[in-house]
Amino acid sequence: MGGQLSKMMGKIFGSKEMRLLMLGLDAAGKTTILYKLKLGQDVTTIPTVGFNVETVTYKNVKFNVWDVGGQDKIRPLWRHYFSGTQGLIFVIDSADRARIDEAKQELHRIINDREMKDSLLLVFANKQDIKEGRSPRPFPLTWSNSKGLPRRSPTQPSAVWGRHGMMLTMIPTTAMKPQEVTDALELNKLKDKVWYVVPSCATTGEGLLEGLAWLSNNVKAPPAPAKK
Amino acid sequence: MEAASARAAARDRWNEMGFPRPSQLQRFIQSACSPENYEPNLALNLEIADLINSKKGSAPREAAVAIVGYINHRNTNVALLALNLLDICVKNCGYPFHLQIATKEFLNELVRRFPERPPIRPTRVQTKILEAIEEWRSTICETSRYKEDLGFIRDMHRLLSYKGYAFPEVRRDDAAVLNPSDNLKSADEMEEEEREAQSAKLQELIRRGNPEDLQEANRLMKVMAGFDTRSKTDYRAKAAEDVGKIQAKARLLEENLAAFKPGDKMTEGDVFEELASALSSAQPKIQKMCEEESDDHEAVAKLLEINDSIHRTVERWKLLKKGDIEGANAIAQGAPIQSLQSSGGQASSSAANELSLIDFDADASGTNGSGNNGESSSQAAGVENDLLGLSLDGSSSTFGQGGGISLGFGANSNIPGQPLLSSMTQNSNATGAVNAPTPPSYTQFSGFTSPPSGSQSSTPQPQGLSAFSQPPQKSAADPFAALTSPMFGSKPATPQPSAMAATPAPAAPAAANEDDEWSFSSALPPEAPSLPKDHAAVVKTGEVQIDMKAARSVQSPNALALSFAFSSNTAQPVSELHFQLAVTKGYELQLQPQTGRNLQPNQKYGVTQNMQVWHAGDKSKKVETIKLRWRVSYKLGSETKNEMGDVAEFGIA
Repeated sequence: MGGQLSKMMGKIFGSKEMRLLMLGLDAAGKTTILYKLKLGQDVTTIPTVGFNVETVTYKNVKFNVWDVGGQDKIRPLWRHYFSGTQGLIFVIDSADRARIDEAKQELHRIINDREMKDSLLLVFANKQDIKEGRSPRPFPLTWSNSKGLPRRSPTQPSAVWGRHGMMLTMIPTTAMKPQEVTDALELNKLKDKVWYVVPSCATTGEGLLEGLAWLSNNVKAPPAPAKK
Repeated sequence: MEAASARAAARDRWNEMGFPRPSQLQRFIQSACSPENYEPNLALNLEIADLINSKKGSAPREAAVAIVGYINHRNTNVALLALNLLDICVKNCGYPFHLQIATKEFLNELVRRFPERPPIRPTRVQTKILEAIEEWRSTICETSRYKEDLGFIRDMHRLLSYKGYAFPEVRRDDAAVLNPSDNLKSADEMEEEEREAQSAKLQELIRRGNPEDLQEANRLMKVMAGFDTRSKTDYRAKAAEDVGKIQAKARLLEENLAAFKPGDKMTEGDVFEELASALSSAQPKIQKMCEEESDDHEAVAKLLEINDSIHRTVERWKLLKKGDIEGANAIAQGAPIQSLQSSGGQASSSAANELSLIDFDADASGTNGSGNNGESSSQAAGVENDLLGLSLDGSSSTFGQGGGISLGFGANSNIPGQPLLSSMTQNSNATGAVNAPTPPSYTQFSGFTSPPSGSQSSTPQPQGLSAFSQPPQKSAADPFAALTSPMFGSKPATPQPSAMAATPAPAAPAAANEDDEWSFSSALPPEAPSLPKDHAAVVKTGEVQIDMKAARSVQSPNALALSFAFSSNTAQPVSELHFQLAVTKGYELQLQPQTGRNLQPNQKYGVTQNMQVWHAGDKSKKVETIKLRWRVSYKLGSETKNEMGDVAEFGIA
């Protein structure tokens, strides 16, 4: 039986594979992170309709990273990817303060699922490069129309026209720090969950490998006290 | 390589965790298959099925894997308990579970303990397994909406037969529960069902993780998220079609009841009862649909009307069953199909009535029992004249001598989606019929009421048609508009023959001799014309749908102007469309070229073609009625298709 075989393999060789699921709101930078990890270069992406899956090897561990689109229409389909997930990578656009609450709700919905109860939680507080900040943000009312247009690269200076082709408000903001993200996502409320917040920048690759290292160190381990 | 590792990682988690805690589902299955049970614990088995249904996600797979493990248990008792549980799950958990038992892994596992050569005497477990596979093959592999996903079951069946295993006979009745029910479903329910199936499929594709599966998963996600709407089903249209079928059933019962004579007896489980129970079970559904459609008042009105008439029919059946014929007739007075009964009452041959049970299309020409009557009285040669002939003047003489193409009832009744006669006036519209229970609506749409064509109800509107005068087509896109028909709709010819019989039209004498034996009653508004001003019909449905409109053009009033519009109902492009048409001897066709030869996926009226029909060699004679035979060929993808059929006789004033 297939399951028994893989059990045996796991015993002999140790668990060298890890299934990771990367989720987050649209335009958080999931696909950019995936291909930065895979190819080592910054790629221009378009909104993911569907999903991407790539295998990334780091420190002798094979990570199967599933990156599923984050548009609100696709979110109900996320649950189909939960089964067998050992680590959840939740990606946040740290500069998008307006939607951090929405991100929180989605995150809690995911980790409350039965199938995700054993998985690790890694949060990438992405887009840390947006410093002095002006983060382009569409009018909240029209946000749900988003689709189809080329994605803004995080390093691009804030433009008057956003990637969704609508007028943007200019709100002075800086990227949220990991602590802010932790509070905004109410991670401290989580019980029986191993979680970690890493500040990251998908375009430069900053923080990405640190996140993977944390995942590989913590997988299979008995529930350890949460660290930051 | 990547895919392989993705697959390995996707495997159930607990396998990699040493000794995992069994889940609730696994514990349940364990106790259901525990050898301590002397017999299957039905309550627990059903609870397991419920648990699978409520948890969804990976639960069906988890259960299938656990159960098949027990099926291969050394202890025969355990294996039999597991097989019993498997049977319960297959029958109660629907498509998500079927998908699991149709995986290669599961099927290989299921027959793991089968020897290479069949044993002389198979064990009880082996017999049971063979029985299960046979049962699945003869039910879900044949009838499921998603049978293409279950192909491995058939492969396994074939493999086992090849190896020499004999499959035990399966009792049809036991297995029938696996067939999809033909209960009426509302649009929302159908959509829900489809979504469930898609979810299960997506889950399974992701789990498998082969490159092609992942590709398919990506495609499926686009569909599910609503980005890809090409293959989206119009559930409202489908629901409307189903209501049309219920109407047809109601009409059938009504006809059969009309043929019911005082001496006859109803037995348990006869046609009457079958139809009546189908109708009664449909009633609450129709009421539910009324709620769902509450924003569409027209649809609600129509549905309510249908519901009422079904109710009356069922009541009549109940009374007749009790033997209360008087009471039944009293109800019938209120029923809007009165016109059917007077003639139907004479229909002596119940065999002829049952004929229409099988073949709805025959009704289009055989309408109100009189058609059946005609058939049963074996007027072999005159058959094609009897009904149609009523409406015709001298030109009817051409019928018998149909020449190269012989059109007649025999030929017509076999054609799916046969076009239906309809009478129309120019200034009425769909709403007119809603409140008046009895008179059929003389609208554009009444031509689209037949059960097979009900869903494609929109009237063609090719450009070339602008020359004809048309009533406004305000609700053409509404699938429920198709139900506006005469009560028991799909009876489109009803108004027409009765109109012809009732109106002392100059056309009548020619056929008067045929006319005597029927007493038509009429339910027409006083201003009903003897012949419609124009005529619309669905020539054919299917991947390429052809709609037809006929009218008089202003420039040449003697000719009959026809316009055909071609629509694609598939997601594949249609190319090399070639449409041919033939008329009976004595007429000639003038065709204008098709506007194109290609149809985009699901394109509506992408190609049109106009033509005129004249009397051969005599343009001064007016063409009143016409029969047509058509042939169409097209390429769907790389496949070439040829189809042909007839357009039943119709006439235009």
